[in-house]
Amino acid sequence: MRVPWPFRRESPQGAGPRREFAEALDPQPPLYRSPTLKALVSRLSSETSYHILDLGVASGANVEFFSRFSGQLQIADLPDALASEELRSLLRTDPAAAFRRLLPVAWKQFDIVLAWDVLNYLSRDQFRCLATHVTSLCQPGALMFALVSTQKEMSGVPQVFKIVDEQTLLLQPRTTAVQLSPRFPPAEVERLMSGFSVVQSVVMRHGVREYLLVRH
Amino acid sequence: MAAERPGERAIIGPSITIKGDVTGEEDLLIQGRVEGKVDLAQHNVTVGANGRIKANIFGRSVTVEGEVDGDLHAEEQIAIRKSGRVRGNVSAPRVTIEDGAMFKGSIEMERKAAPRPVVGSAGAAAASPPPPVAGAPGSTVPPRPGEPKHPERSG
Repeated sequence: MRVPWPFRRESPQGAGPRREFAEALDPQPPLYRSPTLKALVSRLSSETSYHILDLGVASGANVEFFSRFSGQLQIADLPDALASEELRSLLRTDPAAAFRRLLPVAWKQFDIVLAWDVLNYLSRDQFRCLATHVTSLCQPGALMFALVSTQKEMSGVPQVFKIVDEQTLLLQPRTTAVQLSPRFPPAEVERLMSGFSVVQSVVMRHGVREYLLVRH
Repeated sequence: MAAERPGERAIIGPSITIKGDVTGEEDLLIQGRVEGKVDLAQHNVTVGANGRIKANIFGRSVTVEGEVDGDLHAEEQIAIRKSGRVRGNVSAPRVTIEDGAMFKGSIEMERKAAPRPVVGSAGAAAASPPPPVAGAPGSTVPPRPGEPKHPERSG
């Protein structure tokens, strides 16, 4: 049976990252099933404590969800920083310095990074600098969850993603404005995230590619 | 010391600015400005919508509706309401953040008796071996220096 585009399985090339179908709960956001979140959670143990870096906006639902594990959740709220003209200016002129200032001190060795859709709002230089800085903050084996837009347009500001359960996300737009999406192709994401390898990559029905990456 | 009267609490009004430590034996509502330390470890501290705090706050429970630049510690609960803005670290058995609240900092998480996430029994994601997660059982990645990753198993 010919499968329509949103559910088309991509043929794995060689030993590349595994790809799966995306199963949406609803044809449109805000509520959708996230196989990559499920894959991330399935790799966690309630017997282990984790240090988690959340690059997105604080969400009570996500705090509640991760409170089933012990450890520490660090919320960086990069969307708030991206809204600041001073920091936007610094990001343009010296992105490495900007991320050193924005993100936690280097001794924090995180086990999990939740990037959500923040990467879509960075230039390639900024993306590379953030990836380099985050790599230095993570333990080898650390996992990163990221969402990269594949559509021409995307929300004008990073959105809020609330974890409903271990495989369901609620997308909470913060504006009706849209802007052009950089549409980072998978090969470029892998190149920019040089400290990480793609474990899983899934195209979702609503034009987002989910990534689960692991720190080398 | 005067007996505490249920339902009553002290108020720091919106026109008041305190530079220094605040201690006491009763619940407190802060609508003004405080720069220093707020230490009411056995009582409830509320930073009202007009409150502007540059201080660490210690309370039995801490509720933030205004702005706090400092760390929050509570014996029972910390709640950041939708109008609240907090930059700092929080530590409490229960932390709630309402939609619309701004929080930037770290949250110390104590494990709750929540149901374990159901790991999918079908599908490649569940079937493939997990990558080494730092500090996880079987991981070759050592815990952070000085930080036991498995305190519950250390004894």
